[in-house]
Amino acid sequence: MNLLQTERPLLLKLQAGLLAVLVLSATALVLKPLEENSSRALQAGQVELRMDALDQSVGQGVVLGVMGGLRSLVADFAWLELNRKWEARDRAGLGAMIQLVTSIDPRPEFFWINSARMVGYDVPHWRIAAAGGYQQLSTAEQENIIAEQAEQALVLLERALRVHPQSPRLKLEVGQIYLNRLQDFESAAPWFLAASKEKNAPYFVARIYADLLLRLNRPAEAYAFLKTLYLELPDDPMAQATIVLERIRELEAELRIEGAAAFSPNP
Amino acid sequence: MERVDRIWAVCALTFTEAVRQKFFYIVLFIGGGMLLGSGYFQQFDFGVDELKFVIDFSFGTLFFLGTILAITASTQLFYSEIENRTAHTLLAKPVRHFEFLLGKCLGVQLLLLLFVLLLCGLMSALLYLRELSLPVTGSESLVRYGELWLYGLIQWARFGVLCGACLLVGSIARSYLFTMMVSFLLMLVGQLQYIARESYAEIAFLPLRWLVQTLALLFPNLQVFNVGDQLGHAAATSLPFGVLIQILLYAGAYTLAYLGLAWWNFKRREL
Repeated sequence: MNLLQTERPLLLKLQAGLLAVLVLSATALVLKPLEENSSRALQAGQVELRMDALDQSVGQGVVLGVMGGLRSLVADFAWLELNRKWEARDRAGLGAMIQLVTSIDPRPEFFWINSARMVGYDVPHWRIAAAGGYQQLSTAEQENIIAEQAEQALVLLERALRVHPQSPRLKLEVGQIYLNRLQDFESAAPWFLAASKEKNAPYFVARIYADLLLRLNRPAEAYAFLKTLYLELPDDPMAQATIVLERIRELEAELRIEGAAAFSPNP
Repeated sequence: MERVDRIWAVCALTFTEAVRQKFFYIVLFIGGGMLLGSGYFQQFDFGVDELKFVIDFSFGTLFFLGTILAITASTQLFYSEIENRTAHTLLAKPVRHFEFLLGKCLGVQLLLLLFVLLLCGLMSALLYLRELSLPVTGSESLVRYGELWLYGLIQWARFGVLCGACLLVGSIARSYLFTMMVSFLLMLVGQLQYIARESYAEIAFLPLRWLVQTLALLFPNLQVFNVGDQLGHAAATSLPFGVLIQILLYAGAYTLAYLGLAWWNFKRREL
C-alpha cells in the first residue's frame, strides 16, 4: 500500500474512483425499488411531474428542483413582468413570458386562464391595429387574425387541461373562446356541457349550454336537458331554479307541449 | 462503548464549533426574516390561496437555506480540522478515521436539526396566527401542522445525504473551495437528474443510452425529497406513511454509502 501511495498515486486514484463507482452503482441498484415507488407517489400528487412532453417539463423541473417551494414566488414575479409586456403590447415578449410563468408554476388556473384571454382576446386587437386598424382591414382579414389567435389560446388551454383535467373554469374558458371568438356554437356546446358536469361548476354554465342547443336549432334536446337540470338543482338561490323553470315553460310553448305531457316541477 | 464516547466527543466538538460560527446565525436570521416576510411577499401572489402560498414559501426557505447551510457547514467544519491541524492531534489519539468522520457528520446533522426545528417552529407559529386571522370556514384546520414537521424531517434526511457527499468530496479534494463547489454541483445533479432520465430514455443509440444510464446510477435522485406539494395544506394529497419510510431509508442508505467511501479515502489520505 505504501508503494501505491508514494510511487503510484494515479493507480491509487483509479482504485478509489473504481470503488466509488462500484459502491454508488450498487447502492443505486439496491435502492431502485424504493426510489421508483417514492417517485410514483410523488408524481401522483405533483402536477409538474406529470407533463407529457419533455420540453414542457424541463422548465418547471429545473425550477422545482432548484427552488422547491420558492417557485410560487418566482412565478408571481414573472407574472408581474408578463403584465408589463402586455401593457407594452409586446407580442413576442408576452408569448415568452406566458411560457415561462406556466412552466415555473403550472398549478394556478389563474395563470392559464388569464394568459389564454390575453392571447385570444387582446392580441387580435393589437395585430389588427398594427396592420392599419379595423377600417383598413377587410372582415375576412380580421377574422383570420381572430381565428389564429383563438387557436393559440386553445392550444394553451389544452396544455392547462393536461395539468388540471377536471377544472370547470378551464373547460368553460375553452367553450367561451369557441363561442365568443369563433362563433362556433357546435364546438362550444360540448365544452359547456363538460364544464357543467364538473364539481363546483358555476350554475350558469348549464343554462348557457341549453341556450347553445337552442341556437343550434335543437329545442327538444334543450328542453330535455333543462328538465333534468331543474330536478338536479340544489336548494340554493344562486342556482336560479325559477329562471330554468321559465325557460322550460317557454320551450313547452314553442314545442307545443301541453297538459299532462308538460313538465311538473314537483313530481 | 468507548467508540460511542469518542464519536460523541467529536460530534459535540463539531456542534459547539458550528453554533459559534456567525454563518449559522446569518442563515438563521435570513431564514427567520424570510418566513416573517412571507406575509409581505403574499401580496405578489396571484395563483394560490394565502395559506398555501405561505406553506410553499416556508418550505422553499427551509429547502434552499438548509441546502446552503448543509454544504457550507459540512465542508467548512471538516476542512477547519485539517487546516488547523487539529485533525492530526485527534487522529493521533485513539480516534479512528471512521469515528472522526461519523462524529463530524453527526455534529453537522445536529446543527441542521437545530436549524430545521427552529424554522419549523416559526413556520407553525406564523401559519397558526395567519389561520386565526382568517374568517372561519369550517371546524377543520386548513393547515396540517404535523406535516410541517414531517417536511422538516424529510429535508433533514436530505441534508444528511448532502453532508455525506461533502465529506466524500472533502476526503479526496485538497481545497475547501473546490470541495464546496463540487458539492453544490453534486446537489444540482441530484436535484435535476430526474429530468435527465426522461431525456436519456429517448436516446436511440443504445451504447450511449447505457453509458448515460450508468452515469445516472452514481448520483442520488434528490427529487424524491421534494414532497412539499403533498404536505401541510388541508387540500393536499397526503403522503402515504410507507413512502415516508422509503424516503428516509433512501436517505439513510446514501448517507452511509457516502460516509463509507469517505472513510476509505480519508484513511488513505496523507494529512
